[in-house]
Amino acid sequence: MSTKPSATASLKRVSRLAEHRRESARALSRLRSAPAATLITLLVIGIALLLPALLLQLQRAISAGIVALESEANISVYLDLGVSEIDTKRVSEQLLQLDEVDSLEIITPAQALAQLGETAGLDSEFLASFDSEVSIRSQSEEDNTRFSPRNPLPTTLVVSARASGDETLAEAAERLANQIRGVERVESVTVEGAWLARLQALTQIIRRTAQLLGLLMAVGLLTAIGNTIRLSVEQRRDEIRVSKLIGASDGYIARPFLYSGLFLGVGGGLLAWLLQLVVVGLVGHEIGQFLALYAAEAGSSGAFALSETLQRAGQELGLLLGAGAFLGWLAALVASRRAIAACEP
Amino acid sequence: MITFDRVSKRYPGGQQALANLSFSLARGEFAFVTGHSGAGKSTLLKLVLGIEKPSGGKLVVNGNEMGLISSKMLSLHRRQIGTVFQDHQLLNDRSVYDNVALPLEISGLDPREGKRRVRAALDKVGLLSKEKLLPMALSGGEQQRVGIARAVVNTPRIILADEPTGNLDPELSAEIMALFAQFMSVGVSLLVASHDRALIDGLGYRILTLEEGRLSAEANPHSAGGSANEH
Repeated sequence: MSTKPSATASLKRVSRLAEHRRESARALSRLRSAPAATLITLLVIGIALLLPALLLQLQRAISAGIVALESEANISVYLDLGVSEIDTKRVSEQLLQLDEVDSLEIITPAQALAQLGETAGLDSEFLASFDSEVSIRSQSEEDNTRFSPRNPLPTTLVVSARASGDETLAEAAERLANQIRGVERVESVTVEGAWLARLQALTQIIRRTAQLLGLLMAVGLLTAIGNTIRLSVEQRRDEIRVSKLIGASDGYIARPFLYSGLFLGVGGGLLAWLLQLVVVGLVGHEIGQFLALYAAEAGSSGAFALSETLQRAGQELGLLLGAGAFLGWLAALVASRRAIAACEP
Repeated sequence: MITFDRVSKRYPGGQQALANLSFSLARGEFAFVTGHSGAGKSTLLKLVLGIEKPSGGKLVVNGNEMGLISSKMLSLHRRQIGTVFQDHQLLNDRSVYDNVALPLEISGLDPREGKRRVRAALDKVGLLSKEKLLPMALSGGEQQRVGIARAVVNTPRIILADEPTGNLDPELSAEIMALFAQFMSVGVSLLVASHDRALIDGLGYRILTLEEGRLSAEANPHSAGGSANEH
């Protein structure tokens, strides 16, 4: 005699959809029946997802700022004090020959002094007297090609670097600076983009930290959700034993627990997103100011990050919900499978 | 329906629960398994249900060889057996109705289709009016009848019962046995473990007596008092 399907098999079966609806409703009611444990698990998930998400956001905000600044990677070339106009012209022509040089601007000592006065907020009258003194002295010596030693500022060539190939602008600027250092009449060279490179390195650190933290948090989350599910399975040991005795498969028994894990993960993801909005609201202003400082240094208008960050909120929500759902489901799958197998009748 | 062929069962501790047991139960047959506690009654039922596997011999239940059955087939196998437990094994957080509906839910039957069947099963055990109550609100006898309704709702081919009258007074016990007899008449095979000789001797069905894991006596309604020692 072979195993014939039981009489029920030939009857109308419940639809897959209705079955899943029933199991998910059951999972929800189980979560609701233990509100304290559910809430704690949600908080754990929310915070665990929040930390790497925030770090990634910070990194992205700064990176966005860097992209806006990167076109500004300049090199200041200071010539020897008292260099002649002819020499200045010769040096600048020599520099313009270089491939890496995009453009070049000459700032004479007089212009530099005026700029200094402006940015330092020096009394304009005092500055004017200083300037006239310089010109009087220059005239008295009847040597227009030499600047007065009273003006301590050198002639400056501001060189914009141009990146070639897959080189970053900062790298190109650094290489160019080394080249320029060898040029005659050049006193010293400063790469203005150096702080940019440092900032870039910082964002790399933040990014790596976020990735590592995310990985650790994922492991922690799997453990935390898995533990909640395992406890939930153990609480229902009798029910599971009876269900097995009357023919329930492990998969059937696991289904509401998988939904529990999924719901916990999605709920935790949502919580992480809300917390993130709060945190960004609280410190976003400070991040904006921090970036604006760099923007001022680079002379860029720099309206970054915050508005963009908020625009990304929808994308972030999707990512957090997805990560939560996947981790919750995976944790429940592993934990419930083992716990259910252990409930032998 | 059930064939034991020189089946033995030895537990990992070394305890010999069943030794060289052979008998078979036909379709629509009602048999009692009796004996002192520890004689192997529970082990016998566990083997039929696939909770334990035989350590020797061959056991075929409803076409499945129980020593070789896969875990996937095992759950299908159990769906075709209605089991009544001594301690009811009802789910206390679900209503009487939901308890009885559980086997149908596990089989994936449409709940609307199942409704008629659950009602019929509850009607048969006389508990239709209590379908909305939780099991704890019922008496021991009523809980046992809920267990019976759950065992029969899926129209099984085999009904197993482990001390179904263990905690009940004689009157209720007789009622439950009468209920079982009704299922026998529609072609279901029943195997009922009971130590209540006073009750089962009077019913006139086949009685298998176990002693230290061996079949020590077999009483039969057709050949009353007949003994078959299987060695």
